[in-house]
Amino acid sequence: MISVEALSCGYKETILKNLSITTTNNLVILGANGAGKSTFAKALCALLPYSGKITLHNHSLQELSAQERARTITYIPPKLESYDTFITVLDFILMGRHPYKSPFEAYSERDEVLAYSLIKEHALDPHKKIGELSSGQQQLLLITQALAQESKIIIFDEPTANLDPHHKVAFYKALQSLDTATQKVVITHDLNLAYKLGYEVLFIQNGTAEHYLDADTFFTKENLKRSYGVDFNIEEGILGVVYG
Amino acid sequence: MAKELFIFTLLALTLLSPFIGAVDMQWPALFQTGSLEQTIFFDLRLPRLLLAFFAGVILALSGWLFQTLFRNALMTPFTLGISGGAILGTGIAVVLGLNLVLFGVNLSALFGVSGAFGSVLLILWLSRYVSHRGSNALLLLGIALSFFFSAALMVLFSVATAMQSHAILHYTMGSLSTLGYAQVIAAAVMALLLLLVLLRRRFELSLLAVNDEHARLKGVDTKRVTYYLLLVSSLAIGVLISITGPIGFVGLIIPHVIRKLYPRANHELIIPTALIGGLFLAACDTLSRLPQLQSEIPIGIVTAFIGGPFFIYLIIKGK
Repeated sequence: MISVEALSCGYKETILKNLSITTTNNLVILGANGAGKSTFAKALCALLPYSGKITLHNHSLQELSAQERARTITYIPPKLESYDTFITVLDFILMGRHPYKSPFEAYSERDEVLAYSLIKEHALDPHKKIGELSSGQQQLLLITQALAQESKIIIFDEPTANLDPHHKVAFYKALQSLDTATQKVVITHDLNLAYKLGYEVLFIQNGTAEHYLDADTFFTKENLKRSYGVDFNIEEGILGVVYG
Repeated sequence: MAKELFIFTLLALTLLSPFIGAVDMQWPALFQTGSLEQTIFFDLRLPRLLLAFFAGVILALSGWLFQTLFRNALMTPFTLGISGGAILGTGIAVVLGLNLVLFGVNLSALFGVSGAFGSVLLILWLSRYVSHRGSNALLLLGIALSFFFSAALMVLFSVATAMQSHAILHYTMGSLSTLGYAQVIAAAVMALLLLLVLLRRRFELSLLAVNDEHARLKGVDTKRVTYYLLLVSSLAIGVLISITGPIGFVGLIIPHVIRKLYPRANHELIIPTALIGGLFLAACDTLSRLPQLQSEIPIGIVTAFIGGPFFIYLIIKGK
């Protein structure tokens, strides 16, 4: 469960003002560039200072220890940024198991088995260095690592931005069958994906948000035009923006 | 091949170390109880070799740690002004005439450590105001602090007596000369402490080497871990600098060299960094005494002579 009351946060200036939402279901977060979608996600993960009240699975975010927080919620950034580019794929996936590891001890055999099976499932090379991967593979790597983390809530930030159509479909299927997470949150500009997912919609605009419990009420031509200011076509379950 | 050659050269120069100096070592005399050679070997040259090795370990590991924590290849205790604080602290102890031992603690070491701690706290406090601008802003802060500390040291020169001035000047050039084993033990304890702490924290450090946000998302209390590691390393650096004075470039170049020699994940490089850092400084010490001049070349000058051009080469060659 995600429960947010009167959330305000931002960087130098406040981006989100007095935002509230409570949901126990999957969610897509939509909104224009710079509307504050990622800011909202980072506040949920305690990566940013904020004011207001955030409750995850009946625990106040402030009261969770770092490890408990990581077991409850995680965020997958749109791009891999790493100072150390020599880490192997296997080691990187294993880092997803850190929230379950006792301090100062190595990762357990169970962790390694899980990491290997995820690596196989996503057709990654365990011994390749993360700096040698293509941007699409790096995105896949981040997603795979988050799957190893088995957090209750997983936030995907632009998960399909660097993926080719084949991997996009693969991601969509993987997301549908992902059952370790009780709540999946997807931030995206890919409205077709958002439409297809059929999750509840949180549309962020001007620092505040509108929560649509039923996706169908958001994905109407009229509402899309009102929200984005451009025309859309919906035909045979495919949603597309109308250029010109 | 280049790797083996490099390590072999370091090892050879290190092993040569105790046999170089004003007095030639004669093999038979070395094993004669009470001979001058034996005294020189065991009370001067062997402790010096060991001090050089442990100093190299501390400097290289601290450099590695700072580069990892701040994810910036230019970070070392020197560039962040922490060494500057330790030098100033030790300088103050000299001017105050506090070169004595109280309750088993050398007072100048205490001042050196306080200087290092003070600088860390100052840097951490200042970093709160620049953290959003990334580690380059922190680096600039460190450089500004270093300049401030060297200016303060210059003020010390003007209030010190001629004797004290000479002592401070000699000290700021860095020296590995030592008598007996008290200082060697202090450096060894600090080197081992730092090594053990880094090895114990290697998983958190491997997460931090990706980026801070990533580490937090995986359940690392990054602030606490960073503060803890900075305090441990500044303790080691403070103690070391109060013994040897500043020795630059080791912390900067050794982690880079290691990364070239062993293109592996950062957290797997802790032990190679420690070993090669130790051997490198011991080898540099041998080189400083090879020319057999009137007085030895200060060690900081040798490391800078080797490290400077080498670093320029690394920069020009690019990543």
